[in-house]
Amino acid sequence: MLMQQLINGVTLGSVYALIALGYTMVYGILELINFAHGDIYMTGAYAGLLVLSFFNLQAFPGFLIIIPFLAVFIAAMPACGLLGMLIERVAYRPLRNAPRLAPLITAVGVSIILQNLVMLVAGSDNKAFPFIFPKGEVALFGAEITYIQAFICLFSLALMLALNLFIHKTKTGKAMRAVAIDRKMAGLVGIDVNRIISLTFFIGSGLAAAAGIMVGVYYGIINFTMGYMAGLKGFTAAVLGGIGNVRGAMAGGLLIGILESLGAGYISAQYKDVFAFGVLVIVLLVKPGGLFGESITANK
Amino acid sequence: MLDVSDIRIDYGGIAAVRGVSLYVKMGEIVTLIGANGAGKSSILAGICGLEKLSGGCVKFEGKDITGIGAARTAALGISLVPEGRRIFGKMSVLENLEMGGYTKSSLELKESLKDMLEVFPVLSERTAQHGGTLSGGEQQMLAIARGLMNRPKLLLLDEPSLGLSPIMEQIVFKIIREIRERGTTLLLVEQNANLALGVSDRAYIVGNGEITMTGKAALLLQDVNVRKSYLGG
Ligand SMILES: Nc1ncnc2c1ncn2[C@@H]1O[C@H](COP(=O)(O)OP(=O)(O)OP(=O)(O)O)[C@@H](O)[C@H]1O
Ligand SMILES: [Mg+2]
Repeated sequence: MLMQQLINGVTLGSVYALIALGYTMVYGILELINFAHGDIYMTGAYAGLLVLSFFNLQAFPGFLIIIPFLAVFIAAMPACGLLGMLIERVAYRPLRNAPRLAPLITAVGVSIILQNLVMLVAGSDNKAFPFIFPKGEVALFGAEITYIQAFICLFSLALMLALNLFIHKTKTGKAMRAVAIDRKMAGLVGIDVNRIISLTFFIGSGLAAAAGIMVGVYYGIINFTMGYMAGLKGFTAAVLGGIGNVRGAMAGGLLIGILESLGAGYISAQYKDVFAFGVLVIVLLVKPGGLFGESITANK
Repeated sequence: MLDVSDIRIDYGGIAAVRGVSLYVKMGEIVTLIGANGAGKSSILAGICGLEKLSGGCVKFEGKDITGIGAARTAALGISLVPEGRRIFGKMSVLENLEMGGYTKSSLELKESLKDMLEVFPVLSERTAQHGGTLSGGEQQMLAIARGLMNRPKLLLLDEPSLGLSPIMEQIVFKIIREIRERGTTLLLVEQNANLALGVSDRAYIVGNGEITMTGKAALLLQDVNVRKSYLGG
């Protein structure tokens, strides 16, 4: 039972971690909490649904099903990446030097707009996510991990490893870190700061889209309000890990997923959301900068 | 090579730079000296595109570069080593240097890197260390080396000796001379006017957002009023 709950928790946590990355990367650079991020995740799920609708799934028997499956990610992730870039360009950039509250309220507005747009286009009822991932499970430490769970964990891990490599090993990735540390100094050494900010939104939104699609496949159902709670959890994970800290977001996501799963399994499924937020409150009381964050009094 | 004419900078309606004109010729070392808050750093920020000008223009090698922004100014060959060093604290020494050469091709970057690690042996021993954990003097070396990674034609140095021990100060000024010998032109802001005027060809004295006096460095060193105000009598 414990092992099974852990497996469920890591699956869920991988999704939260992917969402948390977008929050933390944007915060790291702009000190903006992008409240529309959860809705990008939701839009990602709907974009995946749209891509799927172009395929006749019966025409891909057996292992070939991987073709439409990959196509969903390959098309929907960059599409949502572009959406995130567009939002930054139109809604946040004009407010770059405005008081902090202005972009925050704008983000809430963008969130409402995205939800309503998707509702208008796709309808307000639940949508079935028609993709049937091959069924089956593998024994793992005395419990079972289903294929789809294994896929979610491994794919998320791959995306996170790729992101880590990108920001630590490539010139553009290093520039991204430099912009997060000191935007003006980054400009002084010749880094095109606006381009880096666009790229940050692109990557964060693409990762959120991947999370949305995987949740769609996992639960088989999506809804235009699904970004609300997932966004909140992702945000919690980002704060828990120390907002602005990329590795912290990954760890925070996993931690929230596991806590939620254990809480639901051992204490009460109805109160599963309470555990994540409860832990956040406790951690922030003890360590206000988050688990991997710096103390807030230290300047960066 | 640098021609600044009548530039003005306002911070929310408060005029910090009020019509400053100056020039720097190729191969020169020129120093700005002046009291705290006189506007020296602001002038440098205006030259390299960090602060918006509310008037005037900046020409570099005959080209008008007013308002093109910091990144494009850097690509043209102007580097600023800012006041307070502004090292990328959570990046390694090596990464800080790489960022300094951001506008360069990877080949040029490799060469400059090798070069800098030779000129600054302190840094070569600490390439993997986080910039933020270096000592103040080491950070200043890193800041200068980062500025040079761009192979600038013109290097702007804002108070490079600030907070350094007398020995470290001497080292910094030795490096300044070396930089010039390698063919880089320098515009320097300094509180240590004695040392600065000692290495400079010319100097401008900045007061209250304006140039109040200018001339050959050697002559300013003799000037009674300058001695009283900036050289400790
Ligand atoms: N970003 C800013 N916002 C508002 N005022 C500013 C800003 N930067 C500088 N100032 C003001 O402009 C004036 C000139 O500042 P500046 O930093 O250019 O002086 P400085 O000559 O470099 O002084 P110091 O020798 O102390 O470094 C000061 O009165 C300062 O308070
Ligand atoms: Mg200054």
